[in-house]
Amino acid sequence: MLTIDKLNQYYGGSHTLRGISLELPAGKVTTLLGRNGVGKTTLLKCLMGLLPVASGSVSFAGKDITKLQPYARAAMGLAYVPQGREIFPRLTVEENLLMGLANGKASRGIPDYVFEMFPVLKDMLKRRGGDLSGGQQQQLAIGRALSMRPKLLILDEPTEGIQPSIIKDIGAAIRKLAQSGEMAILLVEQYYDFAESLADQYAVMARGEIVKAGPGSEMQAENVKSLVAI
Amino acid sequence: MERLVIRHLYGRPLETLLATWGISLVLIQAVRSLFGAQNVAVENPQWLSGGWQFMSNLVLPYNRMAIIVFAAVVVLAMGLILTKTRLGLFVRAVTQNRQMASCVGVATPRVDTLAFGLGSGIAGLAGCALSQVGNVGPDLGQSYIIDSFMVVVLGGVGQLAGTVYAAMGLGVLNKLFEAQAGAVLAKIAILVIIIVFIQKRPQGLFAVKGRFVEQ
Repeated sequence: MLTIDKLNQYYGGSHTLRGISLELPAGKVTTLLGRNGVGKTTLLKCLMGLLPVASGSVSFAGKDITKLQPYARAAMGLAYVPQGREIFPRLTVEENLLMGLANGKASRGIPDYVFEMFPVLKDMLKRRGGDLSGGQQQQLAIGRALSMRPKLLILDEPTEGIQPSIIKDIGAAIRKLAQSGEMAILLVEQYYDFAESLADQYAVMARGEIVKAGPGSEMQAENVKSLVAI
Repeated sequence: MERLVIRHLYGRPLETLLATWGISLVLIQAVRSLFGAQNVAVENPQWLSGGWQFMSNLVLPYNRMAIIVFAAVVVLAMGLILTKTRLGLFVRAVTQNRQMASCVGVATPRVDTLAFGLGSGIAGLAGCALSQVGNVGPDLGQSYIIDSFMVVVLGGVGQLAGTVYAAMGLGVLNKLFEAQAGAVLAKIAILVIIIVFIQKRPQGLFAVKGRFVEQ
């Protein structure tokens, strides 16, 4: 679905992404692990077009999207759930979800499966997004991304600061989405057990490079945990 | 205009203010060169001339009443556009989080242009309304700039309701003082009140409330 080829990026004088190549197939969950500051979020921002790329290419469904603006990528089916959630604080929950339809699919309305996965959102439609708790905001951010009916879902640390029961809900939602077979999912995570339980394939980043990658079933055998743990 | 100048100044409100003011000077001079410095009288339509004899010594002129109604209609329409339409939703989203709005598929440059056009259109409507009160000249707007800035500061930036209340409050206060102390003293009194007010409540009359404010 999405192919990243020899991506390089610089932040000031430092080389933040060094020749990253990664392939995200449809219907699979790819987890990207790594400690703080190794370039995970930078990579995601390059994928969404929020940061310019120095060299290398990103292509989606066979088309080169390296130079496209974020909204053009969103229209093609990329959805991004950023770290820190970034919901619109002064819009209501409903309006936040409607924003997910901004990529030109307004006529179809908010899809029902958003409320099936996160029933709490249904009770809060008229509340302002910024008044929700952290866990609810995270569910809202994922719900907003899902309203876009994306082909690729990018999640940046969805478990950060979230209570275990909601983490479980989020995990189940991700599993279900992947099983539908049409969506590619890229999950960036520091929480190793959560990442391992969902991974169809994994990649580990260190100092702007992918140092290890393989199928999710081998994560334990390859002792990936030691690369992520402090 | 928006594409040429303002686009490059997003996120820098002070420079934007200066740049737009500079442009306004250029435009004023351009109009002066083209049409001459003379004011032009605008003929009132027949039905707006005259007034309503309220009491023997009080006449409410029709044209001013029409302007009040007109302003109310425009504010209402603006409120509806902002809260009920897709464009309004996008405008609010872009002002709150530009990057994320782009990430969910809002073509932000388009929204910027449309919002700017909407604002300019409203300013144009205000100009039409003013032509009913006085003569039309190139620097018609100058005397209103200060008042409008004060209204925005008092009402809180980006708050439609706040702007309405602030405008009403300032206008009424100004006229009340004027009757007591004369026009110049009234202006000074208003300015002092605003300065004191802003020091107590820098966020304006209608500050945004909610748990996200402290973040």
